[in-house]
Amino acid sequence: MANRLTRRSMMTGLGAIGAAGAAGALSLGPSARAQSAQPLLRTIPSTGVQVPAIGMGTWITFNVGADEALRKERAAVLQRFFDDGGGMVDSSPMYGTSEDVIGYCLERVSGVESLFSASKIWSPLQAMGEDQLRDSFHLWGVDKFDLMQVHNLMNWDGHLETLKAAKQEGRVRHIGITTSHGRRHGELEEVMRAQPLDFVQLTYNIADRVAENRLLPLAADRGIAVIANRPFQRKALIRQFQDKPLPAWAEAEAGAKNWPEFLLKFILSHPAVTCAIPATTQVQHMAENMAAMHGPLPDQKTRQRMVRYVEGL
Amino acid sequence: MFPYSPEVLAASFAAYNQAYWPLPAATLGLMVGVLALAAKPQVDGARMMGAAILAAWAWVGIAWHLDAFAQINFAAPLYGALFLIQAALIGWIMIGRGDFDFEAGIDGFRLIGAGVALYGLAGYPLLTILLGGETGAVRLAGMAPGPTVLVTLGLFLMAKGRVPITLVVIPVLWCAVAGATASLMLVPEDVPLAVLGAASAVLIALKNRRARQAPR
Repeated sequence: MANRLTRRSMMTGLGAIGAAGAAGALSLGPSARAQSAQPLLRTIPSTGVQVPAIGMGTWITFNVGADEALRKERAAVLQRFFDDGGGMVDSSPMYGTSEDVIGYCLERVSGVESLFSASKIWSPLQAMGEDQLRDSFHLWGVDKFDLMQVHNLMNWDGHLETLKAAKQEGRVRHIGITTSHGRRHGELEEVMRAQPLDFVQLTYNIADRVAENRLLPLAADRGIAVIANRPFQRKALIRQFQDKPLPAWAEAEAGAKNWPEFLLKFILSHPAVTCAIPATTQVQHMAENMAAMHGPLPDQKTRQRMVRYVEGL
Repeated sequence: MFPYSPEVLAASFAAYNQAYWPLPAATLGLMVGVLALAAKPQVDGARMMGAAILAAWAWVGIAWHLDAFAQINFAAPLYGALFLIQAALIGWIMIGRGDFDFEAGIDGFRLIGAGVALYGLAGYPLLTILLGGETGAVRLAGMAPGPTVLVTLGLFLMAKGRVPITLVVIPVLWCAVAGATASLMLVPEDVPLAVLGAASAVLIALKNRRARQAPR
């Protein structure tokens, strides 16, 4: 979607295939939705743009330096992401060589028309924000970002000024702010109330549901799209549960055939969540993650059952 | 917590060694020479040793931390600054002031110091290979931080008399930071750093105390 690409033509296509799915995904119906061949799309409230509900994080996983073999492996992961209907790729200048590796991969994979490019400004100095923005354009090889965020609330007031200006100039399509690990929720809430944000990125998963209390309802009220980071608490939730059985009702009621799907569908079934961004270095794991965009999502009653189940393990 | 994986760290060391080859062999040879000088001291040997380990700390600070490692770790410039400060301290105290000396003979501190330095020279790379790592990705004294720090601490233990505490702070701090990082990231070859760093700090404190109590 970033303009390496024919973002506009791609959105037309996505809009055609995904409007019904997105509308359905945003409501917690009384029963699970029927299996669909189309990936689950979500609508960004402020612009109406649609984005696939599973994105890709790049923290650690795409920071592979100049190693050609590792870069090619990551390109295969990204190829699978696009093949399976992925869109949002999220990165940051903080992630070492990740942005450079993304740019490398984007030149070598097909399906990049569906890219929803998301990066961040990460600096204590406002003056460095514009430089980082310029570097990100160069590293990704795009001339427009779909989303640019202030990383971990760092100097958010200064950087939001930079981002608002970039949005006005048409260099950035959406702007947002991020936090992770459940930190600084109070300050994030203040920013969400006071600033015209398109996106907020925060930690939300089945074991860390603090955001349900105030931030997710606030995002829904304010029409702010939500990116859920750390959907597996890095690998911790997968490690914790992988040797445990899925509940017998997982597939029928939650649409989950494995633990990654179970964990991702829990996140995606919250009506305020727009997108979850798991990270992986494995093509097979990417395929499992992307499968969460298909099939039924749990309803409210099943969500509560999912929480009770994992808390009992 | 850390922006890179152990696999990427190993790949970075491999690329770094390859990019500067044959410098890794030369710096290893230089560090072996330093240890030999400490074992059989020569006139002005302490200053020569100081020049060699100054060069090692400065090189690791610039070429590894500020360049190669900074590509994958946002904290690397801070580490680079610490290594350059340590290089400056070595220059000031070991070369400029010259209040550092070695004398022939064997005592417990010199033996342990030689052991720590030998581990930095040979044990570190061997451990990487024994653990299944690539030969090209081994960390060598004079090129990589861990073994350079251990050779330095080993030399301090082998030195005659008191070791200025200002020279010890950064190496011991590095051992703690790298050891903790290694245990969190599961990089086994760096785990001994924490143990050896702590042991060296305690032994240097004992050595200094003994030097203060020695009859003048």
